[in-house]
Amino acid sequence: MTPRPDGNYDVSPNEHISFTITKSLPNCAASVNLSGAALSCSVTEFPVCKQCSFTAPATPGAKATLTMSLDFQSDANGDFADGDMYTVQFAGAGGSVPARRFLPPPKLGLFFIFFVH
Amino acid sequence: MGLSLCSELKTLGRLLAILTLASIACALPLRAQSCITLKPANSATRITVSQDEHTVVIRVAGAVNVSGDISSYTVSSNAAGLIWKAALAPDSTVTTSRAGGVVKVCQSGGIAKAAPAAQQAAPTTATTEAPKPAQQPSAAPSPEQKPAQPQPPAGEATGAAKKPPANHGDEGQAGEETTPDVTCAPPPPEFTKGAAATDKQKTLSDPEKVVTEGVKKAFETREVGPPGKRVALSDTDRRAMAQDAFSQDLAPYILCLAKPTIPRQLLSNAEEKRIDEQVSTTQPSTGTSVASAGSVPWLLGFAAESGALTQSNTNNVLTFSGTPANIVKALKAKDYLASYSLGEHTPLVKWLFTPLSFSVSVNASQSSGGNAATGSGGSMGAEPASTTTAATSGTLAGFTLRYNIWNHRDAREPRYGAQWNKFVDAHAPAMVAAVNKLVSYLINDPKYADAFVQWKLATTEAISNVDMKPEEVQRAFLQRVAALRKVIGDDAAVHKLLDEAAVSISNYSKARNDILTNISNTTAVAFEYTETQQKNLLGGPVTVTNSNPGGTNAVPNLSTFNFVVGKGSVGGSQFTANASTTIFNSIPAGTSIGRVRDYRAAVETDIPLPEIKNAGMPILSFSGLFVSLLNQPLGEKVVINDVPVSFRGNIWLFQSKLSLKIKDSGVKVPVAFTYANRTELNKEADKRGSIGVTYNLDNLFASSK
Repeated sequence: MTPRPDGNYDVSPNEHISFTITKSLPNCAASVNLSGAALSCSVTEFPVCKQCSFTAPATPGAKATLTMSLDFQSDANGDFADGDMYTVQFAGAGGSVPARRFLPPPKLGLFFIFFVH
Repeated sequence: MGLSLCSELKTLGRLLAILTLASIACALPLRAQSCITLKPANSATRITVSQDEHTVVIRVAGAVNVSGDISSYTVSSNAAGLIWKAALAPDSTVTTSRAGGVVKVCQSGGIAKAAPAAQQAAPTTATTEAPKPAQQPSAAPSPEQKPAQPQPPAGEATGAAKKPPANHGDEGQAGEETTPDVTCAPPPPEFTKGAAATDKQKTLSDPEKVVTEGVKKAFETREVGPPGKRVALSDTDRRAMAQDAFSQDLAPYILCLAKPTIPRQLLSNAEEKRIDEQVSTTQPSTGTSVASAGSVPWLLGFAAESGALTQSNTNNVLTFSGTPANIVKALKAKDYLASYSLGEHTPLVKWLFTPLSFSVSVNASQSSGGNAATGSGGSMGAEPASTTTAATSGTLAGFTLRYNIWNHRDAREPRYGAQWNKFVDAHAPAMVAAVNKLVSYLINDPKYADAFVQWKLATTEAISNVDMKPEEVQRAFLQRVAALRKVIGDDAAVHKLLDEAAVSISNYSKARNDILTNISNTTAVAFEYTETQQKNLLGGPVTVTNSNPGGTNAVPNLSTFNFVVGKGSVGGSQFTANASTTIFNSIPAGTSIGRVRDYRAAVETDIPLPEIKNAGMPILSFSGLFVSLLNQPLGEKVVINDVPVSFRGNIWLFQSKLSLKIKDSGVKVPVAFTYANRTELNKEADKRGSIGVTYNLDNLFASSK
């Protein structure tokens, strides 16, 4: 699994990909969707919002598309806490790649494409 | 024969020369630059220009004056306006320039395709009026609005030959710095009606503002993580976060490119909707508020009010309110937003100091008050002594301590974790699935795959450094929206997926707004203690007749114990009920009054009205107050205008008030009309108007972040 300059990832055929979404402050409000591969997620508790994995397609040239929403709650004044942040940590066969950090405001249409080479 | 052949050759040569010259003469005008100029007839007109390998398209919403060579254009219309379209010859170049709203589009270097005869006969100057649109113009036509002329999908990569290579988002403009010819139109009018969509919501729901704020926040964030676990960030880290905020989230781009009938609500903001915060004075007899509200500003508030409710004075009162624990936390954290969570795990801070707030009121009357002995008294005579007293400017009118017994109007509280989980499970899957469907289509269809990947790379690289200014980020975003529009073209299938994703995002945002509203509508309960310096609240000179022949009793101060309940309701309205009693802090010597001065009950409902454009959100309030005055109001016999005052009994008071919340400022101007069957110091019915200014300084601190 290799990060690409465009923010997506190159992966190997049948490579096992896992990712963990954590949040620094309550409450978790994350949702994920994957096409091109089968997604498996386990039950987690705060600060881990999602713990999921999938196996990359076997065919070179194939792609898997992961989309997610990472929502933040505003405080009583409608402002987002400065320390609040989601961290998305991807890991492939070669180990973890640099984590992706997402600050408020909410990110409702995040996407990551995994290109099989 | 030879002469004849030579002559024929000369004739043929002349013919060839004539034909060549004629061809050149005919070709020259076509290869020269051909321009069309569009001048908006008014500020509401929107003009967007886009092009691909084969066509240049000018979309006009509103009235426009068109001049220049329009012979190569065909004109069609849809619900959003007129569409001027010209086919481009190979190797032609299109340049677009804007100046003062005037758009000039020039073609050069190719032979433009001839337009139909009817269009060729069109005048070179025309004023066109778009069909009356039912909604705001669109940045891109919806599938059903697609012009009749087929337009092949074109990717950013295919059109790159016509673009300056270094400008990823440019729409074919010849290297000049121009405004991107796309805007994220505001929400359609029907969506902004009513109290649910405030001006601040519109600001936040504006996709380009959301992206700009997200990138700005990433630039400004020097460290991340909860208090105590902060991690310092390098410039590279901050740029990477900003790039992710800018390019990894497709939602703002989707909303910008969706058809305009889909609400462009991306976020909601509860603050401007909050009408339950008490900033004005809580002195029981003064101010424009009948009832104390359920909440106070989290940090600081300021109010200036003129007039009193149950007394016949017209003095001005300035009230400064705040929450000490939060002020200390804010000063310590040096960051308003970070200060919220500071100390939240310390029981003393959490249970004692944070729920505690205060307010201090000062008499700002212009009259020069003071005390003056006006009669004989004391040990010298049998007549009771009397003193004329009036409020003095700058004197303390009173103070209030308030404890929030129950207030869970913060959506970030862990108690709402399960509610948020349920909300996400119910509303988010459809949204992320719809976005996934769109991205998967673009990335797997050979027509779009390369162009979309190129677009993503260019969008990521558009955040070039951490010193970019917000306006640069905003401009870059609009350029990337324009570039994405080029990638997807007018393909009905893609636009269908785009609109479905936009609808799902909008639905999610609406549900999100609902949950935030529900939380902010939960019941709040508070207890207040107020001390009132009665003599400092008197607007005009009052002669106090001492009951004690041997001394000069001062007007006793008051203590009020108030129980406050606030509850949000439908449409953002707030209902507040107060029950209180006021006692004399001291019993003047020689008097036989009881300790309890009065009992009070008050109810108030605050109804947010539809927002006034460029002004703010008005709040209409209706309230009622019942006062059972058990003793003479000042605790002493008083004389006002030579009339002795010692009225007891009941007071009924009704008030209607209009408060205008000035948008994005925290300023609220309440104007009230009050009718009372009598006042504490006057038995006559009383009608009065009063006006005030309140300022919630939370906004100042939050906006300075």
